[in-house]
Order: sequence, then C-alpha cells, then structure tokens
Amino acid sequence: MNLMISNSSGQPIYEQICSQIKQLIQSGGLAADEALPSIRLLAKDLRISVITTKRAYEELEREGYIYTVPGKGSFVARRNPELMREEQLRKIESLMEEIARLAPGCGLSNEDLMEMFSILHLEE
Amino acid sequence: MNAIELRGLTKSYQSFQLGPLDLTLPMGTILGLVGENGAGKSTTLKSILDLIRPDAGSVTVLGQTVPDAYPSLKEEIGVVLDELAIPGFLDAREVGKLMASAYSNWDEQVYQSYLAKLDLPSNKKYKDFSRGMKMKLALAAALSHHARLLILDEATSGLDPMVRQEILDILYDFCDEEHAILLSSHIVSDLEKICDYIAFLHKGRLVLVEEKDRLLERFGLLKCSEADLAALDPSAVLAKRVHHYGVEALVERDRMPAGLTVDAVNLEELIILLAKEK
Amino acid sequence: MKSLLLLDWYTLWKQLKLFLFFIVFYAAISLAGQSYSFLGFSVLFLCMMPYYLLQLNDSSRVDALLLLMPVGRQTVVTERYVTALLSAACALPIFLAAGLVMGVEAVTLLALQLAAGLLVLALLLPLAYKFGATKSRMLMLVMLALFFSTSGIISGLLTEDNGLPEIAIDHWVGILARFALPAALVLLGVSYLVSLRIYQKREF
Repeated sequence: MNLMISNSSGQPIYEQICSQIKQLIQSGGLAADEALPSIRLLAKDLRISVITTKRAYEELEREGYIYTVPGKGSFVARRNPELMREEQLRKIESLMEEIARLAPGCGLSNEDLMEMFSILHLEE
Repeated sequence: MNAIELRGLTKSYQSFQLGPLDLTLPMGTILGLVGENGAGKSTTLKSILDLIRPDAGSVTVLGQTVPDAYPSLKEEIGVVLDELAIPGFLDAREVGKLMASAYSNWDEQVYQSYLAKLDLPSNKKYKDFSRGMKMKLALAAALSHHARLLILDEATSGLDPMVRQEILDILYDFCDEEHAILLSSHIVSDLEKICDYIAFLHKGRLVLVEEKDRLLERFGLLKCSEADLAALDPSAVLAKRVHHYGVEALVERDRMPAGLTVDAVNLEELIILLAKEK
Repeated sequence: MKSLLLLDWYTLWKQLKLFLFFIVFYAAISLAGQSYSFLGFSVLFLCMMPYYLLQLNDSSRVDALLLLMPVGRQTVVTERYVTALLSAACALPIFLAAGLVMGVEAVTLLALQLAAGLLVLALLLPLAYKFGATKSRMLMLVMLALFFSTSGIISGLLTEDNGLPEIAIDHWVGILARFALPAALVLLGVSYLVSLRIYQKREF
C-alpha cells in the first residue's frame, strides 16, 4: 500500500490520507475486508501524528469506506462498485451545481467555463 | 487517562510569573512545549517533578496527585533535564548500576540494548562524551525502567541532525497507547515533526495549546497589501508583519474571502508571528 | 538510600581519592612518629568527608538529579547524616591504633577532636543545604579557623605547665571527652532535623 504525504501541498494531512486510501479502495489496490495498518503503526511509519491518523480513519469510517472491529483493527468495507461510482457522480454533480451557481456572479459564460476547465486539465 | 494534568499552576518570582497554566497531556500522545528561553518551560517541567513548589494550582501525573504520590510515582517517569546532568566522572556502566539501585523496575537488558543500539561505550566517562552522546546516554537511562511517562527538556537542542533523528526515532517507538511524552524545546522545528500537540508558552503564559495538524490546517499565511488587510475581519487576523512591500499576516483560512491566496504556514513561522504579536 | 550510598562511594573513589590518601597518610606518619597532632588531621578530614561529598554533589547538581529518581528529599538528607556517622565510625580504628601506640591520653584528645569535628559538621550541613556549596564554603573557612583555635587552646592547656596538677588536667579532659562526644552526636541529631526542614522547602 502506497501513501504519499506531502507537507507542502497545503492540503490537510488527514485529507491526504483519506483521499489516497479512497483511491486505493476504488482502484482495487485494497481489497474488501483487507486489514488496514493500525493507526499507531501508520502514524509511526509516515511520521505523522496519531491524532491526525485517527481522524482520517474516523472520516473513512463515517463515509463507509472502512469498518473497525474493536480490538482487531480497521478493514476495508465491502462495497458495491456501482454504488461507489454513483457516489462519485453525485459528488461531481454537486460541485458542478456550485460552479453553475457562482459563475453568473462573475460574468462567466458557459464557454468561459469550458475553457477554464480545459486549461485546468492541461495543467494537470 | 491523562498522563499529565495541570490546573491553575502558578509560580511567582520577583521578575517573572508563570501561569496560571492549564495543560493536559493525554495518554498515548506527545506534547511539545515551545517557548523562548526564559518563557517558563523549565519551571513548568520542574513543577511537575516537584523540584519546584508551585504557589497555587494542582498537578496530576498518571492519575495521581503530585507531590503526594512522589517519590514512588517517579518509578513511572523517565526524565532528562538539560541542566541536570549525570555526574561527569561516571561511565555508562556505573550509570546503569546507579539507576539499578534507584529504580525497582530497572531493566539492565533494555539498557544494554540501548547502549549497543546508540553506539555508546560503557567504559568512557560521561564528561568525555560529546553532547549528542550525553543526550543519548541520558535518554537510554531514562528509558530503561519501563517508565510510562517521559519528560524531556531541550533533548534535541544543539545536536547534529543525524543524532536528532536517532532520538526522535526512539521517541516514536516509545509512544504508544500506554505511554506519553512531554518535551520542551526552544527550537520549534524539532518539535514540528514529532508532536501531536503543541503548547506555546510565552512570558510565563500559555498562548496556545492545540493539536498540531489542526493548527497548521486552521491557520495560513496571507501575503497582501495593507489595504487588503484592513478590509478583512480583524478577528480572523492573529498576527501580522509589515514590511516595505506589503504585509504578511497569520490568518484563519476559513474566514478569508475567496480570491485571496493563503499559503500553508509552518510551525516555526506561526510561533514567531504569534510571539511578536503578544 | 542504596543509590545514594552508591553514588557517594563513586564520588569518594573517583573525586576524593587524594582526600582518602591524606587521611591514611597523616594517620601513618603520626603513628610512626608517635605524635597525635597529625592524627587530628585524619580525624578532622573524616569528619569533613560528608560535607565534601555534599559540596561535590551540590556543585554538579547531582542532588536534584537524584530527586528525579524515586528518591525522596528526606532520604537524601538522611543519607548525608548516615555518611557522617559512618565516617565518624571510621575514626574508631584510628583511636584504637593511637591507644595502642600512644596510650589512653591520645585517645581522649582524639575523641575531643572528633567531637569538635562533628560539631562543625552539625553546623555546616544545614548551612550548606540552605545556602548551597559555594556560600557555605566561606562559612566553612571561618568554622575551621574556630576549630583550630579551639583545639589549639585545648592542647595548649595540656602541654603548658600551667600549674595545675597533671592528674587534674587528665581528669578534666576525661570528663570533657566523656560528655563532648555524646553532646556532639545530640547536636548532629538536631542538625539533621534542621537540615530536613530546610531541604523539604528547597527548590532546584
């Protein structure tokens, strides 16, 4: 399992852990019911705070990506891939709605938005 | 359980007052006490250890009231105080014997393994050690009686980066659910890596106690013009540094209007800016 | 207590070796020359040993280091007075040797000196706990001057032909010796209680 934590990205460390584990789950890099490293071990290996690691796991659990068995540790939750895709789509939709809401205030047309998006894509 | 609880701890000297301090170190975590020289870090640590008698307030260590629970409670605490050194004429073997006679839980095997791991000769006198070796020996001695709480004063200052990393690695390994560490330093970057909590002591008062990562998430560095800054909600601006070409301000990220770039701040910048403001 | 005694032993052996040598050296030349005055030095040095140990501990701040360990303040003070009694006990073989070589009179005089030494120690230790090693060192010099003048007067009384019949002097010294030592020990006890009070309040 690969996790890359950057201290300079500006993205909170717990978010980095969350999003990378989610990606691993979605891409199949982590199988269902596979054990995740303990909070303490992950914190030690990544040289990050235990509290932050705990927060990331709690977040993942709340979103249903992992489950915790007391005394045993945390495991990847069994999830329907269709459902996961559905969830991602919903998220994209809601972000787009937000864009659609904000754009007129700045006088951005649909074409402007498309252009902005393609520039963003190029940069990535 | 909390490893350390300070409630209203106060100690007055002629020209300096510490506190009242309220501070909690939960079990399983590492708290870094940061502050300039003379901010009261040593006084705080010494009050916890009953080397100094506070004027007011209560100190609880590992769930027991201090100083009533001393000296037996000290079996559970490992201490390295910068200014209190091992006598220079002793070598590592003799230090081990001395500790063994004081601590009922002394574990000579653990001690020997630390000496081997940290490359410490057992027959060289302490006074002939380099600063790094002295610190490593003090740490080995503090860790070899199965302490649950470790209190370190300036343990990493003045050490070369390799030794510092070695020491930080040992501290990482030490701290699990059953253990806790309180360490002080005037070098913030030493603490940035290892601590779960940061407490910033300035002129005898705790300016800030916060979970380290949340602190770095919550605050950011805004670089803008003075006019831009004036337009912001002043309560969202914690500190600022004005220079010829603009302003650098420590701000709450969430409360900044869209369009302003807020850079990530590192702990050292944050502390320095805060210290200047207070 | 064990750790404190061990530390004192290390300190004695590593830092005060010369001191130990002089105790034996003075005793030896004194016994060889059948003159008790050097023996007096030995006894005095023995009496001062606990103070020197305290001084070394204090200057390297070992006292405070010990308090970080499961060692109470009371134990630290108690151990210091135990070393005082131990080193006083070390004077006994010197007494015995002096008695065999020089007779009872020498023993009586040495007992007086031991009493005086313990008396100085009883005064010095609380001062050292109160003011620290450096300041109390000055006080010690004053005390030593006092000690030497006192013992000088006593030996002066004995050696000078001051008209008193010999037996009377012996008798007088004998009585003094008999009471001086217990009195010094009582004072040491009082000193212990005072030191304890001082040390309980001390901050490091």
